[in-house]
Amino acid sequence: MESPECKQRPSLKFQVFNSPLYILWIIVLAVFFSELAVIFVVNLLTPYLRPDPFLHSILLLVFLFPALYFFIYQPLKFYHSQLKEAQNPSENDAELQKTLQEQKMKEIEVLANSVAHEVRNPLAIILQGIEYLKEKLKPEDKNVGLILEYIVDAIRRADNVIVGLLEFAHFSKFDMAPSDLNSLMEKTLSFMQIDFDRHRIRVTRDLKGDLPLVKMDKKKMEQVFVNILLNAVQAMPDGGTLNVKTRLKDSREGKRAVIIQIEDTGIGIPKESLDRIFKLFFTTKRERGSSGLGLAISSQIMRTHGGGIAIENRVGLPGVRVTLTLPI
Amino acid sequence: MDKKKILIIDDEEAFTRMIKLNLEATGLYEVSEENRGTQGVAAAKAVCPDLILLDIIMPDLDGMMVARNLKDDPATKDIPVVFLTVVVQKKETEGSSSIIGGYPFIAKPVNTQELIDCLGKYIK
Repeated sequence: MESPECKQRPSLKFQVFNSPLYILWIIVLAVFFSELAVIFVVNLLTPYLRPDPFLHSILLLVFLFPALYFFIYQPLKFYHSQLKEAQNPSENDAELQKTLQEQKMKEIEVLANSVAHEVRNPLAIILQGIEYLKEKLKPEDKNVGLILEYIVDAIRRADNVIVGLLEFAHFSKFDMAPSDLNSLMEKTLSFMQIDFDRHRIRVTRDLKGDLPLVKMDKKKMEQVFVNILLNAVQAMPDGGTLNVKTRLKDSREGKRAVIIQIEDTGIGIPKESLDRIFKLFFTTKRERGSSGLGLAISSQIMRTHGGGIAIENRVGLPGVRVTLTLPI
Repeated sequence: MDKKKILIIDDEEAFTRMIKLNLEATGLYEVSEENRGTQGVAAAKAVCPDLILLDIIMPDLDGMMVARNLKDDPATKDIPVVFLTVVVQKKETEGSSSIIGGYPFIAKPVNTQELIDCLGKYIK
C-alpha cells in the first residue's frame, strides 16, 4: 500500500492569482524593484546603452523574476494555502485523512490478528484443560465444579473481547450495496423480540414509508442496530418503551440522509460518561460482562458509511436517544 | 463401532494434547497429533485419517501449504480438512459460508461438544 506520507498533494500553482489583492501586491513590488534597478543598477551595468527606462524595466523584471518567485510568490502561496485549509479543509485533505484512516485500520487489523493468535491459543488450551478436569475430577466438593465454571465463563469473556477487537479491526471487509433500511430494522426488531418480551419492553415503530435505498453493508448495519437495541434493553431491566423512528432529511447543502432514531425510557447515561461512550473498551457495565466495544464498533461502522451516531439523554424524560445518520 | 481416526496438526503442543485427551475420552475417536506442518503431511500419509484438524498459522509450513500438499497427493487428496483458526469470529463459523480457501473452519477456542458436532458434519 502506498504510504500516505509519500502521496503528493495536488499542486497549488497559480492558486495565489485567485486573489486580486495578491496580484496587485506582486505588480506593485515588481514595479518598485524595477524602478530601483533602473535607477541604481542598470545605468551602472549598461553605461553604453542609451537610457531607456522602459527597456530597463523589462530587462530587470526578467532578472528579478526568480527573486519575485521565491521571495514573494512562494510565501504568498504557502500563506494562502494555509489560510484556505484552516477555513475549509479541502477535498485533498479529506482524501489524505481517509488514506491515513485506512492505513491505521490495516495496522489495527494486523495487531488484532496478532493479539487473537497470542491470546486465543492459550484460551483454547485452558478451555480444553478445564473440560478434561471437569470430566476427570467429578468433584465431591461442589465448589470445585463452580470454580471451573467461573474459569470457563472468564475464558468466554476474554474471548469476546478478542472477537470484538477482530470485528473492530476488520473494517476493510465491507460489502456495500443499496438496501432497504426499514426492512433491515424490522428484521432486527423481530430478531430481538424475545429479549423485549423477557424484559417487558413495548416497542413502537414509526418507520417512514418509501425511504430510498441506502448504500450500506447490511450485516454491519444490523450489528449497529443490535448493539444499540441491546444497550436499550439493558437500560430497562424493569421494562419500558422503545421508540424506533426513521426519517428522510434534506440538509441546507442539498444533501439527503436517512435518520434513524432509537429512544428508550431507561436509566439514561451518567453525564460524566457521555463523552467517553464511544471510546474503545469504555463501559459502565463491566460487571455484566460488557467488553466496552459495542459502541466503539458501531461508531466506526457508521463513520465508514459516511454517516454518524449521536447519543444523548432525553431532555425532561427518562432514557436515551440514539440518532444514526446515513447519507444517501 | 470403529473409532474414527482424527489427525490434528497444530503447533501448540498443549492444545493438540488436550484435544486428543478430550476426544479420546468420548470413546468415539482415535487421535494422532503433530506439531509441525511437514510432519503433519507425512503423518497424514501414514495414518490415513478420517479427518484432519489443521491449524493455519504454523512456523514451518502454514496450514494453507499443508492443505495444498495434501490435495496434491493422491493418497491424501480425499481426506476432509477442517481448519482451526483464531482470526475468525464465532459467528463466521456458524453460517454455511464458513469456508477458508475452499475448506471449512472452526474458531478457537472451541469446546469439545462443538468440535464433535463439527467432526460429525465433515467426516464422510
